[in-house]
Amino acid sequence: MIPAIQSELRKFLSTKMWWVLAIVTVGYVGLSALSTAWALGWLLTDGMASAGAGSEDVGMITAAMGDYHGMVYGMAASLGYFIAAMMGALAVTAEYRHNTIAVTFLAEPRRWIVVLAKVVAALPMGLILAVVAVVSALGLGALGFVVAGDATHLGDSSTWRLAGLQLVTLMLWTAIGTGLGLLVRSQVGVIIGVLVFTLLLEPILRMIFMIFESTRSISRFLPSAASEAAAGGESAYSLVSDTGTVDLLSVPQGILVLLAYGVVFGVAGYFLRVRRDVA
Amino acid sequence: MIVFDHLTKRYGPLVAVDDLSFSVEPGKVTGFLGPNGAGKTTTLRMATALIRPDAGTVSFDGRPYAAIPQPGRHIGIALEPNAFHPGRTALNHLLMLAPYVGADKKRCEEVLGFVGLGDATGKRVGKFSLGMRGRLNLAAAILGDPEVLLLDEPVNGLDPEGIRWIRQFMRALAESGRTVLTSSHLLSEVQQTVDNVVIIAHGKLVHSGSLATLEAGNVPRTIVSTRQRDALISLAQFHHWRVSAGTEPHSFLIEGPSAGEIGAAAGASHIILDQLASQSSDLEAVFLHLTEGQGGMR
Ligand SMILES: Nc1ncnc2c1ncn2[C@@H]1O[C@H](COP(=O)(O)OP(=O)(O)OP(=O)(O)O)[C@@H](O)[C@H]1O
Ligand SMILES: [Mg+2]
Repeated sequence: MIPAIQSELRKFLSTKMWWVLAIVTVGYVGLSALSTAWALGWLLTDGMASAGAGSEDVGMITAAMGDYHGMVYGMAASLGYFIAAMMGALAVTAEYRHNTIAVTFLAEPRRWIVVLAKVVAALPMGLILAVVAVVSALGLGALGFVVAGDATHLGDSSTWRLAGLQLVTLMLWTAIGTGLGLLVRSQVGVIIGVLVFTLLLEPILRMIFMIFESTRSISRFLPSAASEAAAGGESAYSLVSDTGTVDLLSVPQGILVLLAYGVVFGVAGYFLRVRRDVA
Repeated sequence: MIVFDHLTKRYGPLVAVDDLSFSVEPGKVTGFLGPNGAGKTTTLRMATALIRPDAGTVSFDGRPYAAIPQPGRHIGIALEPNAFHPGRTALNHLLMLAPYVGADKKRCEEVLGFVGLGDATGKRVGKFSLGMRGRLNLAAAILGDPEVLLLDEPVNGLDPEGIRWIRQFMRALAESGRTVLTSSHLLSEVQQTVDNVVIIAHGKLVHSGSLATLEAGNVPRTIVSTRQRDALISLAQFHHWRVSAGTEPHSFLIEGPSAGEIGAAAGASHIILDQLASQSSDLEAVFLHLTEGQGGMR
């Protein structure tokens, strides 16, 4: 088992995929955090003042904005999660694409060990991307607030808790991606699948589930909702909720649900795909 | 000892490997021969648990491949000529396999040097030639210093120097008591290297034994020319020789007797021969004869 995990990590680090995705993460997460922090920071300081708002109004609006620092710093997970999933998935599908999966199965013919090793190795792989994402969100987000003249709240314990939970969440997403890759096998299939599901299908499902009282509790178990819960409870969906808040699972529950997705995909991938003949 | 026991694999209506049984001895190089599509690759993949047989088993000293712990330390396999990530360097390709066989970086570099890739360790495999890929594939096979080697068309893409090298390499392994099974669709490619041959066609065994037993099946072939066609044919019929029309006018191909026997018999029967030429006897003809009898390529 340990040789298999070691082998998976060496495979992962010996192609350029991980650092390409790390750069994408810096760009997407970091620049989003920077621009959002700058815009919100400016809006609540100079922007309001130049619009002639009194200090009372500013206080009210700031309160209505809620924890907008957490929203910016939470972008590591809320925006970066599908990159983490993609990374886990691509690590597997690259093996099928270049047929190195045959070499792997020759080295370890007990395929369930290979599957387990891939999912376990996804956690440290995910940690690399997670550190990049969290540093980007906190670093560039804080820079945005500083430029706008707002406080950064970088020293707050809530900020550090958020950072830690996001690391865990992104590691789990990489494992989920690995499971998906085992299930889908095709590189193009998994890229399209992850994008369509995370950016299109899931948001629609969540909106629909949130509209009806009876399905609202189910919506908490959708991957993005579980992810928000695991990452500390920041939800972009609070804006579209009639109550202004979103019903989420607790942090441990969110982590468990994400873990369950990874396990379900991995087990399904093993039974439906991995055991087949390798050409 | 590798034992292939009643192995069968079907792809829809096609029986790619058909109730195939043979065994491979240690201390010998065994050629696994058959025309394109005969089922060689399919058989080797079944032996190594990459594909599941519909029936039958393959065992290595009594154990199936999947039951051998750290199989790479016992059985080295070069099956996949193109199973490389193009962005990975040669050294990294071996390093990713190294944990499975307990090899360190030094061993990986040593093996790369041994197969002649010492100057290309840091090169991406995407930039490798076909022959270099073949060598890297071989390096991966011997990384764990196995006592059995399964090689699928290892000569493909190698230059003459590489071919000579791999032949010497296989001989040396066999002489040290290891088992080598190497596939090819050409007998001549392995003729100087192998001790034993296993020949299949259409997934079925057509011959298994030492190279000498194959030579025993080698029938002399002689070209004769004469204007006395009818006399020659009746002479051939009398002696039960196989005779067929040759490529030139008035020429015939006779299979069975030696050129000397034909000359003597023709002289005794007052048949004048314009030409009497013994064809270079070659095993490839025997091989073709054996496999063509089964219908050749599908
Ligand atoms: N995955 C598959 N699906 C369907 N048919 C297959 C599959 N793999 C192999 N075959 C068929 O099985 C037969 C045996 O193929 P195989 O590759 O084992 O032959 P081979 O002896 O290795 O030939 P070659 O000398 O060309 O490498 C062929 O007719 C081939 O088309
Ligand atoms: Mg083949």
